[in-house]
Amino acid sequence: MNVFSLALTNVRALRRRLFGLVALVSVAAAVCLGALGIADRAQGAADADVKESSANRSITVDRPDGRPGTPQLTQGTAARLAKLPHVESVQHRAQVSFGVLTEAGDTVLLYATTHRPALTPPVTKSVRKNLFPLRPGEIVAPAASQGVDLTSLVGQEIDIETTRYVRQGEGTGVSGHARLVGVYDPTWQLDNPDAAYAADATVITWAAERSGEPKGSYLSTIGYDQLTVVARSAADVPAVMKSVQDLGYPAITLQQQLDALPAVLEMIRVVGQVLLGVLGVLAFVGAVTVTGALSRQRAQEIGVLKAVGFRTRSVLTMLVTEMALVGALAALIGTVLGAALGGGAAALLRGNADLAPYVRGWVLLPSPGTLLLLLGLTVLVVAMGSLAPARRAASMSPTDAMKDW
Amino acid sequence: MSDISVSTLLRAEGVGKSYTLRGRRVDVLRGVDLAVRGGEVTALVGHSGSGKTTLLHILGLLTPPDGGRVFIGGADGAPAVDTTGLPDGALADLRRSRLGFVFQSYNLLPQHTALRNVVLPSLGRRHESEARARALLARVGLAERADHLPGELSGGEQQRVALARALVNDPPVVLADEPTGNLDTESEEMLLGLFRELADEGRAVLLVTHNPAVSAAADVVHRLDKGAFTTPAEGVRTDTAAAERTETGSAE
Repeated sequence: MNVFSLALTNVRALRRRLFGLVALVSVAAAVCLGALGIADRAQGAADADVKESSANRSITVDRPDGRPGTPQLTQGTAARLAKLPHVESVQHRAQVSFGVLTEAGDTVLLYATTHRPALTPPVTKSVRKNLFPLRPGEIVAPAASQGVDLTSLVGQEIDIETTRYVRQGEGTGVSGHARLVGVYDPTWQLDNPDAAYAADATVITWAAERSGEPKGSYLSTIGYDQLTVVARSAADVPAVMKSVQDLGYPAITLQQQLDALPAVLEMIRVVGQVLLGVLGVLAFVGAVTVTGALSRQRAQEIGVLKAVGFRTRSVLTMLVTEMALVGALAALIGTVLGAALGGGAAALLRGNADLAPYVRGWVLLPSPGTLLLLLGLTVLVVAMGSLAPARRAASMSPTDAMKDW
Repeated sequence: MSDISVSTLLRAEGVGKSYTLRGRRVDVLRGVDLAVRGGEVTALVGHSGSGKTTLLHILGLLTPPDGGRVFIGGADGAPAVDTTGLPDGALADLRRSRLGFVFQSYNLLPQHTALRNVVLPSLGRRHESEARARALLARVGLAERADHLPGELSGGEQQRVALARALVNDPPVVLADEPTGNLDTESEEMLLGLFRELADEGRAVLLVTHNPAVSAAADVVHRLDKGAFTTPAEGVRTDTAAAERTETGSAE
């Protein structure tokens, strides 16, 4: 017999008195794991879009709004950025809103966006194998946007509406047609969730019409919405970033862009993290209370153990091991409940077309590393909580512990 | 270390103990000297409150004396140890290796089987202690009850399990506090027989009792009254006492 088997038998014998603590910690762990599982899965879905390609070497440069001395993102600016050290290429992006009219009578507002070879979206359904470069009049939209599933429209001519400039602050709608040639995974967030990729010429034409600027001078006056600067290697990204910022342009790396999740999922992640703290406090306080109460009830047992030759350290080890086992049991139950809870919550979230791509799969738990860390922390916190009352109990003299021997 | 004789396995020298009750000092033991020898059953008798249980606690290293010393001899002539001022861990080691305890209310752990209760003092030595525990349970007539929980055993059986537990580390000294207090006559006789066997093996057996049948079965009887012995330092040998009783009876 060793301390572990002794503790295991004790936990089994005390199970009714330990039920409350196990229930408390396991429910808290379940909610925490469920929330973190969803957030982790969503982050994983977003991060999966960054691959070891030009994507993780890309820096997005935005318009220098509010910086009058800095030139707009014109063709000249693109050429200037392309000459910076460690820059492999500069790819432009123009963006302009347009409406898609569905058969159900809904209007989905999308943003016609220039496709850049460095940042090709993950196409999930298309009419042909190599979609890019797109031909004039072709569109690749997100599979779902604003609660509308667009997948069924792939291959169809769709009704669209663009805007033509009338005067400052006023425009008029212009109806037209485009062909939806493919849809992409909407977790691809680089150009915002409602980006619809179109041929460069198409986007510039629509943008010029909307601004009232002649198409021929649009790129030299108003310029692009964004430039994507691709560094030669991932290690060059910080240096290129600094060079771009030194020129007065706001810039952000691709990874920073991808870290942003939809608000609901971000909230779930925050809830999970808050619950993690709450779980820690609950587990600690629960362990302190239960160990203290049980130690008083088991004083005679502790006295017997010491009388037959147990050292204080052995009794302490036994009591702390008992609580560690309780923590492990609660963590395991919490994991099972958490998987069920995460699955249930994910099923609810899948009802929302915009969130569905983030919560694929039925068993939603954090990554194995995070899961092991959480389980370990639960056991550790419960064991730590039991330490002080267990030490008090283990330090009792045998005669004080078993008064009526 | 002490130079006590090999046969004296447990010795108290000038042991005193007092408590403070409601602001008054109560002397429970007043400079008690006692030698418990191997091969003998020694009985400690006295009225309630005479200090016999306190003396047993002190001899069992469960509570420290206020004054005096306790020496514990080892088996097979191992040198005696002066326990004065030893740290908690060392006292626990001595309790485990050199002393075996039997309590009046058995004090078995209810969640563990008879076998596991017996193994308890030899924690960490799984195989050898389990084999020894089974042998001891067989010796006390409970081989078939090894896997039973204490709640499934009678009082006499539980006390025999407690005795097996006391012996699992093969201690030279066995201490028992009112071991037959909760037993029927048959169980009492069986237990006393086992104590006699232990003494015959060379162990020192010290029984605290107020049961005349138990003290009559001892080799030596020490009587405590108000914290001091009323019997000679070496105690009263029961064969002598019995002879005296017989002579007195004849004279009358």
